[in-house]
Amino acid sequence: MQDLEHIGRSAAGYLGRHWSADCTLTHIEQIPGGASRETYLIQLERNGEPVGVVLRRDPPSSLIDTERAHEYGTYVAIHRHGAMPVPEPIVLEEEPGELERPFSIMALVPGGQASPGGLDEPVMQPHLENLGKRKWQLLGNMARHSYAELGIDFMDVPDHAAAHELAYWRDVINSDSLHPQPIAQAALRWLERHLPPPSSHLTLVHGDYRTGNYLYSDEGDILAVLDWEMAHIGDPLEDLAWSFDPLWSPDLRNAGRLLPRADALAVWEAASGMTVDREAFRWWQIFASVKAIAIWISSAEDYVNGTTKEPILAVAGWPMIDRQNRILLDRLSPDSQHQYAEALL
Amino acid sequence: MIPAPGKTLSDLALRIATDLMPALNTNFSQADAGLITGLLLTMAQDYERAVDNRMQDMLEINAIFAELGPDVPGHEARQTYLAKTPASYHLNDVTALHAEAFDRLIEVHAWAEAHDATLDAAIWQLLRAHSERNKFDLPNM
Repeated sequence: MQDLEHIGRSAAGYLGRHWSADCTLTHIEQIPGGASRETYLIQLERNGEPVGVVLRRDPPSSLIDTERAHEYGTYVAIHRHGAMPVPEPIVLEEEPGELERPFSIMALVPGGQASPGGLDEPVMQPHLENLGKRKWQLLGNMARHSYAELGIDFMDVPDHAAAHELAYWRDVINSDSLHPQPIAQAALRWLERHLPPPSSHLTLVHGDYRTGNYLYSDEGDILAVLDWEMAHIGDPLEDLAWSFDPLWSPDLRNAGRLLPRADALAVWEAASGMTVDREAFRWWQIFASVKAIAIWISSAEDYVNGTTKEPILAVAGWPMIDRQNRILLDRLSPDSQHQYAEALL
Repeated sequence: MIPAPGKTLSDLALRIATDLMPALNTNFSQADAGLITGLLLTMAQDYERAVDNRMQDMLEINAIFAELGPDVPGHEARQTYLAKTPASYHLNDVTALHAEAFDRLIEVHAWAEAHDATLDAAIWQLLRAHSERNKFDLPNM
């Protein structure tokens, strides 16, 4: 276990060598909410000039089992292309070295926060509509680009995006469930019975595009989109459906605490130039809840059997499974009263 | 002390949230303490009800299974399950038998979806009752 000062000094020393500059630590703090990596905000002086960076270090155990090189490569590609605003990637170090575990470092994006709860603050109320428009405009814009334009040739291209994603997350549910999951299993069977045809347009899918994974300003702008560890090539409706999951909004009428779902859909359609196939979109909305429950199941397994006892893993693996089960019940059971999830769009 | 573990856990969560969290000096520590508070509240709510909820689930599942004929797949495994009782009323033992009940229920549900709409609806109703019984009342959830 390393203390904060040691981590900060080690990172400063590493960056000094990387930049061939004189780097000294001026401040370090750990940022909450980084479930997949330990995240630290570090302030340095580089040759006497202040520089802010964000260090993302592998934990002993992670909520989402993903490759750091995959995420870093995605940041590099998106930053180069400009398809979405992302922090500038600085370095990926895969050898444990002085920081004991692999890590990556990005430039700090100043002036933003990611907290979903921050959207409820009075200062944000006049800006929620614009923030919502910006959120789904960015996603729609990204859907305009074919994956081939983005320099992400390290990613696999699925023959059938929906079938590919379903198979992956079904395996996660089946291998990680600590207790049988009759609601998730019923949802998996529904998804198998209603599989849409292969997608006609494949693009980069962020994989976790939700409130909490972008930095927003007090003026209602999105400064950077974060957490690309689940990025993959797939159907653009996947991100759209994920961003609409009721789990991300206490107010069920709104998507992601920001806009009525129909409005968000219209913004996305205008930005992407596509008309949403409602039947396929219904499939992706059910899939989003199944993927979420798979992640919560996996985190429960990690908490019980893994080496780390991070409380976020237990929270994800217990009350969040409960909530996601109720969302799926509302969406699939014949007598749904839509208490926890409104009818599918 | 009258044993009231659920209430005690709630009181501990409240103490952390109101007295200890404000004294923590980093956002990370405060967020961590918030998660621990949430987990204590989750445990507080489940402590008293966990065994009873699993037993109630099994009562309702058993009632459905009792109506099923041998033509429904998994008949033999269901009969074996129905003949069992929990090894004890310790949570681990009740949970083990509850897992077996859920495994059998998943098999029956998959069959019902294709062959018996009434049974399918009854299972969804059972799952809804299960879900409501096990619902957590937590802030922001």
